Amino acid sequence: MLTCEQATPLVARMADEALGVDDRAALDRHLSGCARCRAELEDQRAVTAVLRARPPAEAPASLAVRLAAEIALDSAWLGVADWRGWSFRLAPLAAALVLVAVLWGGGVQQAEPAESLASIVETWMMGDRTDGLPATSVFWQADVNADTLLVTVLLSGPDDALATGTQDVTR
Amino acid sequence: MQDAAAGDRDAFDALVRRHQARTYNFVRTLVNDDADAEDLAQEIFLRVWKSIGRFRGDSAFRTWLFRIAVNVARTHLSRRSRWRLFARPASEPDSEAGGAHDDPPSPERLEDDVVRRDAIDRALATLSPELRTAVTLRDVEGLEYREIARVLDVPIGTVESRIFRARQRLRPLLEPLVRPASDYGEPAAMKKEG
Repeated sequence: MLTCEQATPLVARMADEALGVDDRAALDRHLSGCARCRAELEDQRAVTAVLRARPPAEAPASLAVRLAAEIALDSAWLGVADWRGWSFRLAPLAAALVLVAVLWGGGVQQAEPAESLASIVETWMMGDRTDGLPATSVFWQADVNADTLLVTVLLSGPDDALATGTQDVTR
Repeated sequence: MQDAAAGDRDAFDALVRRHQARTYNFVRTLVNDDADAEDLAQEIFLRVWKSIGRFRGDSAFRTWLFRIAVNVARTHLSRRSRWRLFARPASEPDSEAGGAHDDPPSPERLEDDVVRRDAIDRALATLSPELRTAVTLRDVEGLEYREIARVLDVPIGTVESRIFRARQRLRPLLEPLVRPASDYGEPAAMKKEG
């Protein structure tokens, strides 16, 4: 025997005639002993009947016109913006460019790789030092003070005393 | 359908002609506003046009169309509700939610189709979008429970529960419209589901 909770979805389906034979038999047994679910079924049927009989709203004629204009506009944009269309049409040109690049590249000696940023920075920092310490090592000396650091930074460059480590900045 | 998916504009126009009345009616039921419904119907078909090439055909076109319609309407309703929350003074009741109780039409006026439809749509507008959509898909559009589950992407038990609760809430609101069962004649062409 179904409980009221179990009967609920079946009541909803029974109200709009979407209940299978087996479920219907089970629900009938429950309804025969449950006045509350019988009343609920009648309420559900009443609502279903009203909604089914709702007069449909007619689409305004302007909808089709507006839609046609919108699609025409969208199609025009798509023709320009669709990368698939472009790539397809430009495929021969792309192939020709690749061919030219290959032929031209074969006759040109490969350039030397440019000096990397890392190597430039390293050169600037190390200067002519041979002790393996960068010029900036002055910044983490234990007894350095703020004034000294400021003077050092303002006055020094890659080629002067700081960079070469010949000046005792902690003095 | 294949021609429309391949970008054939005439085939697409035929598809629109076949589905636009129903789509407009559905979305009009959900948003309860003529102008919004027209804008949304246009947006729905524009989305269909843009994505029909990706329609895989693993569900019926109708199911796919309803799914798009539900998503478009859901976004609109959420935006509209945020806007109303922002624009309406706190003391003022929500006209959409409270509308069903204001000045119920007389029995004579309810014979008029427009008045009757308006009364139904105002009652539906009091429901949450989830309940409104489920009960509309079933009782107004006549979709099967299984198809509704696919459109909403929820389990079938959720569909049953939403429809049940929606009808419970609508019952007092639709009281003036309820007629003796014999007045309705045969139910609409809704198939039984096993």
